[in-house]
Parts: sequence; C-alpha cells; structure tokens
Amino acid sequence: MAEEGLLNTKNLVKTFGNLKAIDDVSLSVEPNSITGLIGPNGSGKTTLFNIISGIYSPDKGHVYFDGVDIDELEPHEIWSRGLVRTFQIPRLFQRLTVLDNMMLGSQGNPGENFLGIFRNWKSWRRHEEETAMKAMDILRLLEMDHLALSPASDISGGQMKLLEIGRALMSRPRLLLLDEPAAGVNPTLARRIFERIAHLREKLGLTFFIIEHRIDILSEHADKIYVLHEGRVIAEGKPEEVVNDPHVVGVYLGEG
Amino acid sequence: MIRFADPLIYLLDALAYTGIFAISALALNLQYGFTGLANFGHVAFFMVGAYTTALATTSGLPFPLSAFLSIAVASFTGLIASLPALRLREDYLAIATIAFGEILRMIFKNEEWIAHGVWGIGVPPAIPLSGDTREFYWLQLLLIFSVLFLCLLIIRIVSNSPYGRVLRAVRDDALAAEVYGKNVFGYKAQIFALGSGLAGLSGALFAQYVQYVNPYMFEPTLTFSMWIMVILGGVGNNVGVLFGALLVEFFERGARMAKDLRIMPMDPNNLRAIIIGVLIILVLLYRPAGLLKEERVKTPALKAFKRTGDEGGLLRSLRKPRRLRERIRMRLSKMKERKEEELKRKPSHPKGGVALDPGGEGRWLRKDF
Repeated sequence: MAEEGLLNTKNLVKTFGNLKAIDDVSLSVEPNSITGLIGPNGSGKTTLFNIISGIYSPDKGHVYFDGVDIDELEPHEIWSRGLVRTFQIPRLFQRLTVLDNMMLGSQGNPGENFLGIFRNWKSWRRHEEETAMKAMDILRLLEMDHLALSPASDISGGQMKLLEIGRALMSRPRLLLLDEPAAGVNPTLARRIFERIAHLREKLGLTFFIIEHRIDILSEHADKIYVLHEGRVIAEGKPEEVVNDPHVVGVYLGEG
Repeated sequence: MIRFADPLIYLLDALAYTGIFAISALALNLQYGFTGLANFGHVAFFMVGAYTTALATTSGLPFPLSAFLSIAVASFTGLIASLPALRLREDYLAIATIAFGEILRMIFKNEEWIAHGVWGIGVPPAIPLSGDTREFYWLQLLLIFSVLFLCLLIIRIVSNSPYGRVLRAVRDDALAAEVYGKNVFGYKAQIFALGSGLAGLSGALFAQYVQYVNPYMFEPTLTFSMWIMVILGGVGNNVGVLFGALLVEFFERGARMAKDLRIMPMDPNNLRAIIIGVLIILVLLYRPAGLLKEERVKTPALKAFKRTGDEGGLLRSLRKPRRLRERIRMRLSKMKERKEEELKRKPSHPKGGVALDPGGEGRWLRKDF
C-alpha cells in the first residue's frame, strides 16, 4: 500500500452505543510537519487520539504508522515504535517525583525488567545517570529543574502540562500526539510552548499532531489543520484557508 | 511444645511469628504498596507454601529443597490465579482473590487424599528437636530471620531500581504507564507471582515452625492481619511493614500469653481486637500513609541529579530548612492567589461598602450599618 504520510488513518469508525464518535475519518500527517486538529467539544478529537495510541481499537478502518498497520497493537507496543502521546488532563504518576516521571518516559532502560536488575547491574546504573542528565536538560528547558524532586502532585496545573510534554520528549519520539498542550497554561507560556514545539521540529526532526483550541497560536505554527465535527473531517488545509472556511466558522460559532 | 513456665519462650515465639508473617507482609506490600494490587487472597499462597513443605518434608525431602519447592508452587499458583483476575479493576480483583483463597482452602479441607483434610498433617521441623527448648527456639529464630533478611534485601533492591519505579507508575496511573511503553499486565503478573512466591516461602517457614498444618489455620482473617501490618507500618515502606508485623504479632502473641497465664478477667483476644481496631482508626486519621512514609526511588539518577543540580544552588534547596521555607512560601503564595480570586468574585457592596478587614475573612459592611 502506498503511504504518503508518517501517520495515516483509513476510514476509521468508532461507535459508543448509538453515538458515532468517529465516522469515516481518513487523514494523514506528513513527516516533520506540525499538523493541527481542531473542532468543537465532543467532536471526537480525543477519541481519535485514543484510537491512534492504541487505547481503543477502531470498529472499522486502519491506522498506519510509518507504513505499518498498528491498530491491533497494545499501547506499549505503539509507544516503542516512537509514537508518543500526552493527555488533555495530565496523567502523571502523582506519588513519584518530577524527575521520576521524566525517567519513566525514557526508552530502553535495561533495569526495567526483573532479571535485568541483577543481570545488567552496571549498565542500568549507568543508564540511570545518563537519563537523569537528559531529564534535567529537558526540565531546565521547561524551567522546572528546581522542582525535580518534588512529588508530581505538588506542582501547579500548568507545570503538570509541561511535565507531560517533557515526559513525552524523553523517549526521542518520532511522532508526538499532543492533546491541548496550551490549555490551562498562561498565554505567554502557551506561546512559548508552541515556539518550543516549532524549535524541536527543526532541531530534532520531530513530527507533531496537535489538538488545540487556541486556533490563533496553532495557525501560526501549523502546516496543515484538520477540522473535526461530529466525528467527521469537515475541512482540511492550510491554517488560513481553514480558519476562513465559512462552514468551519459556522460550526465553531454555532450557525452551521 | 511450649512450656508455660518459661516467659522467654513466649518472647522468642512472638519474634518467630513476627519474622514469618513479616515476609508475607513484605510480599503484600510489594503487591499493594508498590504496584497497587489489592490482593485479599494472600493467605491462599501462604497456605500453598505451607502444604507444599508439609507434603515434601513428610515424603523425605530436606527443608531447604522443600522451601524452594514451596516458592515455585506458590508463585505458579499465583500466576495461574492472576491471569484472569488481573484484568479486573482493583475492587473486583480484591473479591476475586478472596474467593480464590477460600476455594483453595475448601479443596484442602475436603480432599482428604491430599493432606488428611481437616485432620491436618504433621511437619518435621527444619531444625531437629533437641532436649533444650530454648536452643530450639534460638535456632528457629536464626533461620527465620536470615530468610527475612534475605527477602528484605531483595525487595529493597527491586524497589529502588528502574523496575520498582515502573511498579509505582503502574500503581499511580496504569493507563499512563501503558501509553508510556510499560507492559502493565506483564508487570502485574510478575509481581503477583513474585509476591505469591514469597508468601509461599513464609508458609514453608510457618509449617516447619508450627510442625503441623490444617485448613483452619488459613482462614481469611490471616490475610487481614497481613493487611493490617502493611497499613499500620506504612504502605510502600518496607521497614515500616516490619514495624507493622512486630506490632500486630506482639499483640497477637501477647494476648495468647495473657490467656495462658490467666492474668485478665476477660478474654484478652477481645481486648487485642479492640486495641488493633483503635490503632487502625488512629493511624488512618492522623498518619494515613502509615507509621513510616513511602520513600523516594533511590537509584543513581538521584545521585546524578545531586551532582549536576548544584549549579543552580539546587543542592542547597535539598536541605531541610530551605525546603521548609520554600514549602511555606509556596503555601503562602497559593493562599494569596486563592484570596485574590475570592476578592475578584465578591464585588464590593453596591452602596459604597467598605472593607473592615480586607485581608481577613472578607467580611464587608456598609458604611451606614
């Protein structure tokens, strides 16, 4: 099958009882791009992310990541292929420290399996030190290094949001699904987060697929935006085209 | 066996029970405290271990071998029990495990060909009986506490490793752990098997110490007394669990002693139940995390952090006074924020009201009041 993008969905359908949450959604995310996903509340954006990241399996249709069909895989298998997501409401490991939360995002720790603790004694200890350095670098970037040893439950809502993004970055992902990274964050910081995202795209060649309600900020950075309404893609294209699309405006303002 | 005239024997006996049940409680702490698995059928695996050793030693196997056999059989049973149960939510897991424990006990009770059913089965002790009772008890303690020490060591290593960190992550948010690449089901099954194996080991020690097993020794209340050890001592803190085991067993054995010596006008067992109950309530009210709190995961990451973090004066921020001050400052700024929000929500009185104490309770009074 000829695949254009890094991530492709083909005719996805997901229903909950009588509700068609996702209705025949086909979209594609180009490598090294920032792709936006917008839509009113309840339009199925987060459901789509849940299907892509393997939390739900679709009723119909397929998800291809890097040309491979991933819709039957477990979430942890999808993660290890380099597709990492964040949550709209941060899901941190509350009783662990900020640093430990970051450490959990890293990939290939030889001490994370039972026999590995004893068999790879030296290598996991070295891995821990290196990963901690990397975690501190990212935390410094997010201006949270002074909080490294506080429990994740003690930090503020905006910082939880940032920590989620930081944790996602720990694994050197290829595609990041960000679920409203700027929600609940102050406007300056929201702008900074998006600048950081653009910078990471340039520097590390990452690909982003972002749900966001702050269309102003999103359209500054996105290459392409999909609009979801009642589980269907009603518009797609360059940010300026989509934002001025009368149908999209109608849906958002409730005149459609 | 016990000579009632010798009070030292009571003490040694209490210590032996503490050691045996501490191993089980540590295993339960690994499952519940670290991984969040509410296992209410823990006694089943303890029982499997005890019966395995009973059957193995009576058929001539030396104790060390039968103890290993106990570990293997108990953890295998744990794995089998966990496979269907672990997909359940926490509360259903609790019900499923308690049912599993009871079913297993009923099998040992009614299938007489296994181990004489209700009549029970005698077990030769690991240390040969000599004429000197005290010497026997001291040697038993040596055996039990060396095994306990070994278990504690292994559990400490496991809980302060990346593996232990993943376990806590699974406990805090299983979905997030799964999305971040941890095979949650695999981890849960491993810990269920490991915890069951340790419970089996402590069952083996129990069987050879008591020298007799029957199905009535493994009622569900035993599981709850292990839970009490974990809750009182400190959920997620291994040393705390040892304290918990000491506390519970000393009350338990103390009550037995008081009953034997008839020094109380009532049944001391009732008093014990009351005291333990009050203790649980007090601990849950005033120290919900238990006597000792859970500690940070101690891996080289912490050391690396302390080494690099010093540039920004972070090491200083680790010291207690600074941290306290910072905590107070944080709390003050949070209070300030909340107050500001409150003030914003409360409009001043329309008729030129005046704040009597703007920094206080936010009471507003009219000028002409």
